[in-house]
This record gives sequence, structure tokens and C-alpha cells, in this order.
Amino acid sequence: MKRSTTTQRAEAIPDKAQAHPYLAVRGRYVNCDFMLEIGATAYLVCIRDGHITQFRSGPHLMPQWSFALRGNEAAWHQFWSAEPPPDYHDLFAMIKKNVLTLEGDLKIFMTNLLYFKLLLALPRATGMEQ
Amino acid sequence: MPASIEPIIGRYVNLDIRGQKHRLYVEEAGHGQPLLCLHTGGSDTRQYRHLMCDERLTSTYRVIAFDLPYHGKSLPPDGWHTHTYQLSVDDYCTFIISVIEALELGKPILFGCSIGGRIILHLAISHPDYFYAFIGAACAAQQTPWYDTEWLQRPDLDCGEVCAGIVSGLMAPQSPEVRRWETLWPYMQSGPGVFKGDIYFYREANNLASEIKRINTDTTPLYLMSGGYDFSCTPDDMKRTADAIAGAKLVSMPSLGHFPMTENPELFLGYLHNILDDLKLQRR
Repeated sequence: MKRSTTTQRAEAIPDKAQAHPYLAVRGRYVNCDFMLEIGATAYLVCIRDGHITQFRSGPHLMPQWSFALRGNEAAWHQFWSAEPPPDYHDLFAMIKKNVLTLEGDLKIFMTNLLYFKLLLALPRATGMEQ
Repeated sequence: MPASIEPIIGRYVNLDIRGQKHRLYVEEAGHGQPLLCLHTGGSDTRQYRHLMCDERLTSTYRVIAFDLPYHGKSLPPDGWHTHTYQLSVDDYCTFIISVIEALELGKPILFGCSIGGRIILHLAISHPDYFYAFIGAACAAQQTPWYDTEWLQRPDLDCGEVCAGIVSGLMAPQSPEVRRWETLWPYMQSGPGVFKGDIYFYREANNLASEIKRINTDTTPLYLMSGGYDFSCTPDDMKRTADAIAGAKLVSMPSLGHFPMTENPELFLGYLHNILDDLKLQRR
């Protein structure tokens, strides 16, 4: 399947996370696997001690994850634009707008909310959320 | 760089409210017509440091802010450990009026944001005579809850991080990064359950849609300020509120969010000065 601009942006997350000066420190107690869905593309993201150890697209056979974030491509495209419009600038804003769902065991997500918000905003074209 | 001293002065006011002693921290700067400012839930008077250091504002207005009990430098009242903190409409109104009387402010202009804005609607209904004018930001008469407040106080989470993480997205992404993180710091410092107890006030009396029709803006002007990126108190929520109050003036701030005075003080002050200038013309 041809990779869209949006999934290409998503796939930049591991490199951008590694280059971030403080993200892994903020997330040093984060150890979990979560599912990130960009439309039809699902990524299993594995975090160990705040570092991404796997960022793997499907198909996934019997995947295990703590929580899943599922949004359509258009929503993530807006979220990762240089100046995201209202309702597409924050994960909770998109959940309230019904263009993103969050499900599963939310404790690890809520415990490290700022970490996950920073991590998932990394593809944004500017350094806005750095 | 030589040291500089800001014009902000802080003091404590001791109040006896319904037999309960309170020691409230009050800050102020400037001279002139009193402009009393109310902080958001889970934060404190530090939100007004930029206003209190704006010479254009302080040359004409005496800008005052106080920490609600449990917030900032105001301690909780004695016996706080025996019950759950929940801010009530009556108590909140009483704190504000007691501070006005203690400081002999006469009839101040009242500015408030979020819970500080919502209480303005209550005061505009019940105690309009105490005020010269009302300016409420992020204060719709009715809003849709968008998260489970149980996450705000749990012994197994760092609740400061959770509170900050929840409100972080309410700011405009264009607001300066340093100011957005400054806005989060008081949330990270807030006492356990304080933000949750403030949100209780929001949700306890969440529907003022019919009562606000009684607000008389002829006697006490009312301005409503709406941040374009505020998905908690949305621009639509604010418009519905403004439409329901005859004479209310709605000011839209498309590039601001739920914390206009802290996330981008420079931009916010432009809107605030316009409102204060309009008020002067209206009251001439």
C-alpha cells in the first residue's frame, strides 16, 4: 500500500523522539505497548524506559497493547499541521470532537499524559510542542 | 543585567466566614479604578503577574487578585483534613464580596476566567450592585464535560502532572511555549484534590441558561471573552451565553485558548484594553 503523507509523518516519530533533548527523561518510567491507528494503518509502538524500541505497522497477529489511539487520516493530518486548527490541536480536543478514540487501560496513558502528548505531537511541522 | 523589582505588593487578609477563619493572600499593583481578577480553578494569583506589570493598565487601574482558600499562598481552613474540598457557589460569592469589603474596593470591575468567569454569571444574577462592570472569559452558562474528573485525584498518580496534562491542550498552539508551560506550573503545584474541588463548582451548577436572562447589562455592563482554541468552553458555548443576555458584548479571541491572560499575555492585554476603553465610553 502506498504510504500517505500522514503515515510518513507518523513514521518520523521514532527519529524525532530519539533526537528530542528531554522526552525520554520525562518518560523514563514509561514501559508499555500501545496501538496507534492512522486510518487503515495501525502501528504497534513499544516503549521501554521512555525510549521507542519498536514502531511497527501491521498486519499484526494477536497484538497486545495497553491502550489504543484510533483516528482517521484527515484528523491526524490536521493535528500534525504547522498551525493546527481548533479542535484538532490536542488529543482530548479530537476525542471530544469524535475524530479520535482512546480505549484500553488508560492508567499508563493518564499517568504520563504530558509525555504521550509530546510524543504524539512530534510530527507537527514546527517545534510548537517541543 | 541589573535586578529589577516588580510593582506587585502581596498581603494577607483574615476573614471570618460563617464561623470559619480564612487567611487569604491578596496581591495588587497600580492605582485608580479597582479591577479585581479571579484565577482559574487549580491555579492562583500568579496568573495575573503580567497584568500587574503592564504599565498602561496599572497607570489607570488598581489591579487586585486573591488566592481562594486551598490555592497559592492561601492555606486551607483549619480542619481541612476532615472533609473533601468542594467549592460551592455560595462560598465562592462570599469570598469575593468579603475581599471587596475588607479592602474597601467600592464597586470594582470584576474580571474572571474559567471558574472565575462562571462565578461572574452568578454574581451578575445575584449581586450586580457590588460591581461596576463584569468581564468574564471562558465562562459559558453551560458546557459539556469532556473527561472523567476521577483522574484528578488518585493516590497512585502524580496528580499535578495529570492536572497539567489535562489542561495543557486548552491553550492555543500559537501561544508562546514558555508561557504555556508557565501556565501549567501552578497546576502541577496545586494541592491534592483542589482542582477537582474547583471543577465540582463548575459541574454542580452547570446550567444557568435560563437564569442568565435576568442579567441586566444596563446597570452593570457585561463583556464575555471567548478563546478560539478553548474546546472546554467552546466559542459556540460562549456565543449561546452571549445571545441569551441582552446587551452582553462578546469578544472573540481566535488565537487564544482557555488561559488567555497567561498563555499569551501580550495578545490578551490588547483585547482587555479595548474592553476597558469601550467601558469608559459607555459609562461617560
